[in-house]
Amino acid sequence: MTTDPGGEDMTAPTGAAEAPLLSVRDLRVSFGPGRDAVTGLTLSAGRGEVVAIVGESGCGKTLSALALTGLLPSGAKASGSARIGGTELIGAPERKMRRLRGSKVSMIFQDASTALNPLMSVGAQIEEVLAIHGGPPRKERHARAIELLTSVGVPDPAARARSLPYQLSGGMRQRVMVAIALAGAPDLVIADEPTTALDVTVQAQVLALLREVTRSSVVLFITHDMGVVAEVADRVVVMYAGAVVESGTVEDVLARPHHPYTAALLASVPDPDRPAEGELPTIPGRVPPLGERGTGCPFRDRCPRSTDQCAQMPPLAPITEGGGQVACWHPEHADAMSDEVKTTP
Amino acid sequence: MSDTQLVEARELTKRYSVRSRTGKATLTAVDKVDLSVGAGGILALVGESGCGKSTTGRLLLGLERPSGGTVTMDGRDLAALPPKGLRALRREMQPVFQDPYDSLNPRMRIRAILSEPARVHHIDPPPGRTVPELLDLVNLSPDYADRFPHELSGGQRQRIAIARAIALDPRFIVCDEPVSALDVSVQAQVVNLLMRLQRELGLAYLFISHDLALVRYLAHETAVMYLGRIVERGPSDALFANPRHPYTQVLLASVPRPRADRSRAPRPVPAGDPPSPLDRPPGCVFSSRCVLATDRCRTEEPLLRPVGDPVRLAACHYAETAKVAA
Repeated sequence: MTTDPGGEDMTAPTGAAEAPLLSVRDLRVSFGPGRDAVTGLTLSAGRGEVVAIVGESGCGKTLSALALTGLLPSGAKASGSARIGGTELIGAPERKMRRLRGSKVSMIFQDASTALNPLMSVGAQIEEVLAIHGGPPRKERHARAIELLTSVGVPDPAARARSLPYQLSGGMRQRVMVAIALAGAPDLVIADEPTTALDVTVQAQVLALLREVTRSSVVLFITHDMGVVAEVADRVVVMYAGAVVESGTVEDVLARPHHPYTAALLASVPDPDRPAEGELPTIPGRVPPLGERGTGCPFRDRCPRSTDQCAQMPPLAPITEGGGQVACWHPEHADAMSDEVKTTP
Repeated sequence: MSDTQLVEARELTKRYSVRSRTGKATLTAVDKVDLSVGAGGILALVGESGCGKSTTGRLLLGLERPSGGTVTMDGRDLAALPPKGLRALRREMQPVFQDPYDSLNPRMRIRAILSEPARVHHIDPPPGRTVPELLDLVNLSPDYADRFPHELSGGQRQRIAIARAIALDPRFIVCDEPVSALDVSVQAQVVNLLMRLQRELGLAYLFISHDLALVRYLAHETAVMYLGRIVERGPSDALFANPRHPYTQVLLASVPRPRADRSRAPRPVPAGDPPSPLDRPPGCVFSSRCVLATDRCRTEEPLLRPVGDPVRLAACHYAETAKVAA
């Protein structure tokens, strides 16, 4: 992982001279005055990188993804910039977005049973994507669809291509979703909680698959599960109440969370490899709902380290040598800048 | 197991007749399950969707009639009780379900929701706990009594569902994925509440969950279910530290760990999906996905038997040596 200590964002590991494939700058989503759901997301990533956006419900992670695909609900407005391979996505006219979705940017949703057309065979649904996005000529589309099903590990793909979604298991449907998302060879794949609805053994299969088949894209992986982050991502962006509170490599953030929210989030999940000890650490209170978020750090009412200074929003500032950043006036492990980041506390 | 069991299931079986394309078929959701929960104990039932864990919970509550086997509470067979006796016994056993959005009547104020159990059971005057007392037990202030469910957050609703479950002073609660619908930071609050109530009120729980980390944290004993069968059962620490059944091993290995020292080395992941309960493999139920399966596993059904140290029960012919390699 290369670093760019002077830069305002994390720099992609591929070719230092090239612009990163995905570059998001100060992305904001607002539902009107005083109702800002995302208050500035900045990140960049190169081909083959998986960046996880992690947070609880209402943190703005899904709205950020929808903004990148031009699928925001009516009433929500995006501003800022998001460029994929030089193409601006924010504010692009709907006709252009239609062309970009599927070919440059594609999305994998949580619930494949509602995302797929229930009346159309899964093979036909893949062929449809190929037809819209300038895939192979009609005669070859069917063979290409079966190829895609094979690549996502669907057994007996020729027969399965004729299946309707309800005839497939949840894991198989999610594999079909992955095949559809990859059909247009997109530069950016956004996966929004793609394994949350799956059983844990099937989740393990689909996570392994996603890492394997998305090597030629940037992947934005949206999740609430730090375990899944550790499993799939290279870097992680932690969001809370619309704001990025911390970002960095997965190794750094999991070993030494700097933001009190990240630390509390990690601590409140029990460890399957250790016997129980005392009560689970909790975060008091709840996420402030949209419309009740004042200025200043959004976590200050729940934060054990908060002071008067926290009434002012802290800037996202560099904290680790690995390009990690934190938005906190009183970060944990603040000495890390001078330390070699090696040991787990 | 001691003989002071509060709730006990013996050879518990539930079959459903279903129509399929080829005519009538039998779906075996729960198959000869033996379980017991001692007074004040916590037994976790873990497994993947469709394994029969929720059906087992409903059978233990007497919400469904078993096709075979028995459920007893305090040694009394639920199926043999007259309706009146069953209703009296039901006060002793209560459910807490996963979705606090579905399980509370949206048109009722919290006060009405919490006093409904006493009304349903024709208890007048209502027993011990008043609405403010119940709210206090679940760490909510008394003024919540006048609110409607939609004014509450998910975590607060689940507290109300828990308060309703303890309103009639039960001894046994079936918690079916009680925190799965909640955000991580709220989950911990509700888990701590459930644990405190269990200690203070001497409750026994059947804790149904797919979250293995949570189960290890809170359950004294764990039973692992697969396709209607219990494949392994024992003290949680023994079972998690040294799982003997190949399914328990892959299930545990599949849990993603939030660790910085992760290795992306391939882990043992079972191929394919669990088979349909309509089409269970002969012999061992896990044999169709088990990398260690032999011809014996495909023909002869393994019985739950004691293995390992500390001892637990596992249903695998090779439980002493079974090791699903990474």
